[in-house]
Amino acid sequence: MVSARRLGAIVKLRLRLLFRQKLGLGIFGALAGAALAGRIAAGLSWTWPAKVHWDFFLGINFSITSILALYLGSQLYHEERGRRTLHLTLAAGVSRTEWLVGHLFATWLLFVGAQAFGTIVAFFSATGMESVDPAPILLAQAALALEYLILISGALFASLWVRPLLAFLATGALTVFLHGVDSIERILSNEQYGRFVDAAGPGAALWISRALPPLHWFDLRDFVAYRLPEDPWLLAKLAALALVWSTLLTSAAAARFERMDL
Amino acid sequence: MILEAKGLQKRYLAPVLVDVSFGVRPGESVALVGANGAGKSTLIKILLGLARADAGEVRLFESAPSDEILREKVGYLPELPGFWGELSAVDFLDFMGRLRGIPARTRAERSAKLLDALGLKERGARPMAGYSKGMLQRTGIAQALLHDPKLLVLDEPMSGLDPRAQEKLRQILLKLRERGVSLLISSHALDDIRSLTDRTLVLEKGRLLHDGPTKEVLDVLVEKYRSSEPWDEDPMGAGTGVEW
Repeated sequence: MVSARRLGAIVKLRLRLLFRQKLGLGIFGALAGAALAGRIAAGLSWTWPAKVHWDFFLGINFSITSILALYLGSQLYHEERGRRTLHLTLAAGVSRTEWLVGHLFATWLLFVGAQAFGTIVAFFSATGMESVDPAPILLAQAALALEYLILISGALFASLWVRPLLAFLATGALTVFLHGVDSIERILSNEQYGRFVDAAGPGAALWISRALPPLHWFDLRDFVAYRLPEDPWLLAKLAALALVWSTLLTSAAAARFERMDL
Repeated sequence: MILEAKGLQKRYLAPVLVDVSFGVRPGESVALVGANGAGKSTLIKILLGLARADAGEVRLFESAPSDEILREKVGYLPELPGFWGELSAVDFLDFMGRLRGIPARTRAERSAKLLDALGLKERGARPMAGYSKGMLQRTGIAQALLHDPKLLVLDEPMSGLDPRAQEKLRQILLKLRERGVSLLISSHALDDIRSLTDRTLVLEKGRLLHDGPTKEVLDVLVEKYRSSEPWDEDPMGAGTGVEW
């Protein structure tokens, strides 16, 4: 049975550990740095400084946090097992599901916190520029925060099968592919290039990608500084999608974890 | 029986445990002895649900092992624990106490008492990253005792402790034994086994070779060790050019 008290204790512990590690605080620093880099890039631009600022910030934010979310997700289990703190925690009557969910949720909270911090810094660093509608920016950031749930649970799931470095690299490659799958499909479907989409290899890859989380849906950066998406329920739909996928991945991880010898 | 193992079998690439059966009665203190790789740690992990047996059954406190039984009645010290270096011993014990559902006030009182008894009072508030191996071991022992367990499973408890800390731990374990706490201790230190346990189990290549009163089993073991070569192959033997 999952207990809220034990889950809370694990979440609190993981957050404390992350904040005391250089990497945890580093995420906050990196996002603040991304905001400042955006400001510098905007200062060098002769087109639309506000747009350049936000594009720069959101692009760096997306790259850094995706890499770190996958890295931390793939390290969690191996780090705890290596220190034998996993053995201690489970022998103290914590269920394996509680352990997984607690560590995953805490890691996600760290990224959400860091992203909120980075966004606030970015708004401050944008002062003096032409004002842009903050709603699309906040929407893009919220969608990315939801994507972390899938990335962290996916990396954690992969790390229960293979070494952490391999789990990180594999989930990283898959993330890049799933973000680009829409563009890849457009290019491959183009008559000019011979409709490669019908060829066995690319066709199979695109077919498989439809059975995996549609990560490109979470990338709403294109809307920034232009307009809000037309669908008013977009964020709610993305939240539901992220929840479904992270629950699926966490359940699969829990099923695997239950059978593992430590 | 407080702990019962029936026909435990485990195989990784080779057999690790072969038909291991034994029990621990309430208040009994049992040693688990065997060479490195004999299967002691695997056996302990199976008893605590950290690994699964291929065949056989474990019963804890007359029922199937559960998280609740582990939480309330069993204390465990793994071999060479690492812990979270970012936390202090006080924070660590507080966390372990929370997991076990100990109320905040009791947690704080028991932690302070245990840290004092184990000589960690002065350094208890500092991050564990700066602790010596012995201090980490003592912190591990403190967490195992925090919830006043009925069964204490210790994997190499004296490892890394200096003689003074060893003696202190010996006294604590003897007191626990007097209070009726059951002990299952995996150790290589025959003197500790002699002074702390009533019964000894000897594992050899995954099989339970002896199960009897500590004195008798240790006498047999010591005699066996005396009459055997220290190693199967002498690393400094013929061909190395080294003379003893």
